[in-house]
Amino acid sequence: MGDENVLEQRLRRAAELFDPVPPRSTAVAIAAFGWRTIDTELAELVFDSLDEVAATVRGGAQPRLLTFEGSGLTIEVELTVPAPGPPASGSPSPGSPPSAAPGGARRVVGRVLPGQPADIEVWQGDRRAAGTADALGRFAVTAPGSGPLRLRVRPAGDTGGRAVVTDWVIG
Amino acid sequence: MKVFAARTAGQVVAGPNRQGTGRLAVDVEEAGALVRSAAAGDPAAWRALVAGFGGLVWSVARAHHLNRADAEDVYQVTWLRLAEHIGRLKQPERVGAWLATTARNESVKVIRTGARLTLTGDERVFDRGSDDASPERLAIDAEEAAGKAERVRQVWAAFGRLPERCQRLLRVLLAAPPPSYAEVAEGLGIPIGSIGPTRARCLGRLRALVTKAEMQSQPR
Repeated sequence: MGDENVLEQRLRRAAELFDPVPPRSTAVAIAAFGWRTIDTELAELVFDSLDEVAATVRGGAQPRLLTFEGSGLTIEVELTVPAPGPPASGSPSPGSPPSAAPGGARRVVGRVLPGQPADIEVWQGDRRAAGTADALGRFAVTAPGSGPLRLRVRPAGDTGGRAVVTDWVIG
Repeated sequence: MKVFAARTAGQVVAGPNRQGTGRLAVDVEEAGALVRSAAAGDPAAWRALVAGFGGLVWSVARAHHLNRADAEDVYQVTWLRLAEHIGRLKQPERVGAWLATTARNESVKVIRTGARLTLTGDERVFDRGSDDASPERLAIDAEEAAGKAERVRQVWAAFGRLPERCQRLLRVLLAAPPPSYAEVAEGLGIPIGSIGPTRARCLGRLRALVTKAEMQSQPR
């Protein structure tokens, strides 16, 4: 038994050397505490099409559908997942804009229900991209970077609707 | 608690004996207290949670054979989620299990998007970020100078040759700091009772591989 533990300890040492948590991800985890919203309502993820995908289906080519609910608002989102291809660190393919996020910028298309004009922000880490929803609540925003993202929705009408933020999802 | 103080400094504190009362990532009482402090706005408590459970979250993603970029997405989204939900956890003392479950669910979703998977042994073993100058790194440099690196390399190479089932379980078990069996079970979606027997069998296979490698590398 002691023998086993010595071996496991050696292996733990090896994992720390060869497969450590990347420091930049630890930095994001620590920064996450500062990005949490204290006085804004959270719209929780209540539907994710990836939860519905059968194991035999390759989901890569299909848009990802998400629904968030909170504070009397429903936010439906379609995320266009970049096609599998070059690794994330690869250079942009010919013809794509130089500002494209690694792996292709996510397009975030959706609508706010009940339909109403609203200011929309897409957050990725500390980067943000802004857009607006029309009178029917429809919006389209290109995500500002890469990695996990969330939306912030602030109704623009006179009704004094309060802003909500959604749960974070992997883009 | 002394163990905890050492851990937050990024030290490797796990002793050789993790069976029974062996030291774990963060014990449940401590975890509950840290969650409550963080929910009340204490950034030091948050950092202690990241230090105590970061290795667990990473290992769950890697046990699902996600490549490093996808594993980073899983790791980050798991912590971003916890930051938002920290004041709503029903069982603050089980935050480790919550993190392991979240990391597993997110890993499965990434796999369903058609992510490219990797086996541990497939990657270049020295694929480290250039910004990696952690205390562990420095300690490891010292070890390398002492000539122990070869043994560590051997054991990691042997790990990469283990069957998939063994790599999966051991990758989470050997997170640093070591997780509890309950957290391992949540992270892999397996019964807690299966962990001990599988661990023993897999470490046995690992020992055989390491012994063989050591014999082959002996000077004649």
